[in-house]
Amino acid sequence: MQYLLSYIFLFPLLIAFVMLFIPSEHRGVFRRLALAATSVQSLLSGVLLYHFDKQLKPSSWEAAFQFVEQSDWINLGLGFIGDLRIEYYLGVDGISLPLVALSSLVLLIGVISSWNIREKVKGYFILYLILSGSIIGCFVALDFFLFYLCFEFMLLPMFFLIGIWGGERRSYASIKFFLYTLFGSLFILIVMIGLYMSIEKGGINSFSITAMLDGNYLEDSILNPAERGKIIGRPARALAFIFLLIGFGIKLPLVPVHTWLPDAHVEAPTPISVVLAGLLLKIGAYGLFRILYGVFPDMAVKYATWVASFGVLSILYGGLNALAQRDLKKMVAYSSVSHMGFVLVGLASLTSIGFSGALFHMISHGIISPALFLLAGVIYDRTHNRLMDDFSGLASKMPVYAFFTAVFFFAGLGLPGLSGFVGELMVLMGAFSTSVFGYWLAILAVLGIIISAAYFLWTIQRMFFGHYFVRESVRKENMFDLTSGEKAMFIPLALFVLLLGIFPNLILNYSNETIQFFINYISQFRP
Amino acid sequence: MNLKDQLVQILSDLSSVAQESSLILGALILLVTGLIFTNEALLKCIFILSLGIASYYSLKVSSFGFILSNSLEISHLNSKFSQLLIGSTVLLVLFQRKKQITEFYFLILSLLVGSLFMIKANSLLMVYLSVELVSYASYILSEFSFTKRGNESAIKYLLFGAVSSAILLIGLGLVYGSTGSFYLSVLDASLFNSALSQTGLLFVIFGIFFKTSIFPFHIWTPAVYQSAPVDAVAIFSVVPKLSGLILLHNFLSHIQLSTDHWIVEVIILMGMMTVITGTLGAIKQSDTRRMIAFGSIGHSGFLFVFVISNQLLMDAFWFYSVTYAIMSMGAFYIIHCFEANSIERNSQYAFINNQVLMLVSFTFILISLVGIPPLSGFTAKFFLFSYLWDWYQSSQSHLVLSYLLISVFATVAALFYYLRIPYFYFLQSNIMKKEVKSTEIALSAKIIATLFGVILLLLFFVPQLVV
Repeated sequence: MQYLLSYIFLFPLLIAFVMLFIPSEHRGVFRRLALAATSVQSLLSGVLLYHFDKQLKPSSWEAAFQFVEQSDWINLGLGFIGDLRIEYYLGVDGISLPLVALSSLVLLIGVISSWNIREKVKGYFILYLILSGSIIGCFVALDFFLFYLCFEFMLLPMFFLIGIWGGERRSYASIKFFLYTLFGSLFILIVMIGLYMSIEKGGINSFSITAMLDGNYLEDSILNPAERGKIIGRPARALAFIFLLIGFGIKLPLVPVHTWLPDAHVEAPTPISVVLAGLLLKIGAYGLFRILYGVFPDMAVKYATWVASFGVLSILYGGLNALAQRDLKKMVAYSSVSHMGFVLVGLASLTSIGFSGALFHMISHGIISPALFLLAGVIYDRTHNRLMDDFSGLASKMPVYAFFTAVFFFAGLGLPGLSGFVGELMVLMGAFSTSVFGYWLAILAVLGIIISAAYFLWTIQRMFFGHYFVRESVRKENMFDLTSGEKAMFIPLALFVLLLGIFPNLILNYSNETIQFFINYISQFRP
Repeated sequence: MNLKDQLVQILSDLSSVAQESSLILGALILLVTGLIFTNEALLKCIFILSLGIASYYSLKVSSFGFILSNSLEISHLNSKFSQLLIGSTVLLVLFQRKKQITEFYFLILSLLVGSLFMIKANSLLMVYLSVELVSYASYILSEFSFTKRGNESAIKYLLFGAVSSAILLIGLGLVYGSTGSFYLSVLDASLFNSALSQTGLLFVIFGIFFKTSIFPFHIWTPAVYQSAPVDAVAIFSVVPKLSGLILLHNFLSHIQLSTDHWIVEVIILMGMMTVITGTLGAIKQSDTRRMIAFGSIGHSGFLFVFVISNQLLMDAFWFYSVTYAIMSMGAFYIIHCFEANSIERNSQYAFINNQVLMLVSFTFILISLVGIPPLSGFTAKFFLFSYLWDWYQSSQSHLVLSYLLISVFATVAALFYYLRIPYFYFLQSNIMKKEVKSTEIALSAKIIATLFGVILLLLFFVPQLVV
């Protein structure tokens, strides 16, 4: 139990290391091993959920984390920035725990949907497992350096996974993804160095996220709120806030730095789109939650209107773009941009219902968007075509497929009873009740729901209703309904969507105490 | 001190230059042996042996201070770096060489001797002599490919070198003439208040820039890196560059100019320009060696940061240098293997034939050159950024802040160009325009290439190994 988080974090990496020594002729072994690794990961996450103390009322951030593991990793006397001290420091609280559980679920689904990868199997699964290890690592790391390591470490596997196994324009998409994300993460790196020089733990500089959250600033340090340090005449904390917003915003993705996402999503192979949409975007959102809002609450209050405006911009711009797409996968990709905008609005509201809504929406979108990409993958596998105009009346030919599409589309547009509704409702309630930004932003955000209804319903109407018709150019000999393997992926996802829609407390119970503490902590910075 | 005492002193100091002496002795033995035997293994043995003895002495250094009537200074910094220089030279035995074995190893040893004297030089004369020794060896080495291109670049290198050594000499003359002091250790900022002495100092610095390929004295670098023999290039990218940087550090750390002095500002500006030219130049290259050359110009610009400051940043500089040496030697080693097996080095026509292991190691090295975790290149970049940040905080100089920002953007651009190689090898392998016959690369070469990658990985997780 003591090393549970380490097991979840490092087990896939261990299996990936073992895979290195298996000759690449044994193709079947790799996917079975990957399946085993992610199943074990999911089981361990289940244990984690079971043993997590939901009632824990933290007195400080340091005490808010459970399953904490802490040991020294790198300890160097450097002379100029003091001693470089990096810890192997893990822990989960009510915010990261649901995300860890979500990750292990989505990663498992990803392996199942990779089952028919045929070429370069060894490389694929090794990279996939490295990716899964670093995703979990991001959510459990409590040392900023370790977080950053995992944050960066997932880029390289992702680059190759998109670039080698992707679609036609894969090389363009993969390099664009890599460049955008690296650009963003260097901003994070600069702030990380600034924080390291400003934060102390036990008298020496530290990367510890808990110390940052608790605000253990050194005297005369540049990011100390009391010092009002300036960089080229601008307040240092404000600059750091903006840098982090750009860094995590690229990952989120935030309009106008979202343009890598449609390319990457469309060109990636289906399982990788699933992981991208389901988890990588959540890492951006988690970074906003933990670092941006946790460490810079004073700036969060100050810039609430700006942040919320960018959120609303993402909602509307992403939604309108989705409305204009002809490619099914691209439509789903833009809908992700729109949905992640809700997360940002929820965060910007600085209310406990908004925060809970943002977290819930992350989880719910983390289940819905993988399902949507899997649905797009189904049609692409059969016909090598995803253009919506080329299909019509699919409901009569593929009824089960149509049913699942309807379920997830309705979940996406926020039908009451399904999980998408709860998140959006809570975010909007937060946005209307907050005092940090005006009503008008909340009203604009509501428009986003209408747009999302428009593009989802229109797609259903165009592709599934009416007479059965497939354009001449499309291969149609393979138009069979879902196989049992595909059903095995969709049924659990659909159940989760329904379950979370009816019993949102399944998630909220875990996060309530943490978010309550978070909001109380922030409220001392409100004017 | 009378003459007798001086002689006694010099004799007793000789033990402190045992490294250099053993290298010179080795070089002479190598030359004589090479006249009689042309056996590669034998010559390599002598080469390794003399390096081995030199590294033994370099590890044994215990007394610091001025020796040989103040012409050399043994410090903690330069004794540590002499280990690194000798260590990187040892790696040359991994490269296979078929022609000019005697001459090559002889020149490499003399280059190394020159570098070792360069980093320890304390008198202005010693500075000049050692820089010239390194230069002459490099001029000849760069010519060793005996191709038309090679000749062209070698002549270019020679002409540039001659001009910059003249600049260095004028600078040294001016510094001596205007300050009246012949030793670095007695220079300080108060001596540099006349226009003459400041010009002299600037000339000296520019003369050293040539060795370290700092803007605007970097122009020879791509041409030489492209057409000189690859083992010579591997050495050029590490030994003269690092020793030049340390020489620069020795100069500046004795003088202790403040950050807002105009000379320091010019130097910082040059460093920034170096980073920018390295980056912009590399983006458009399709030849791997030229690209690495521009990349190494960029790295000069990064390493430069550590030496121009007043503080001694032993550990960060040391870590960056060690990492850089490993990355550079590794990259050229893999290029050497590819070229020896006639794999086209123009990345557009890359040919991949069961070379996955080589390519994966190459990717590791390149990613480390960019500075992405989990490779030690990231830790080095991390130290660099933290250092620049710290320097900015203490000096509040906007130039330093811009240096930081430029370095950050250069890192993103570096990803773009360094990634071209794995990009073409892995992602575009189906659109190769022509196929080149290649022989299978030896297993030993694969293992060595992998080791380079593993070491970089290891240094990220356990940086204590070198610091």
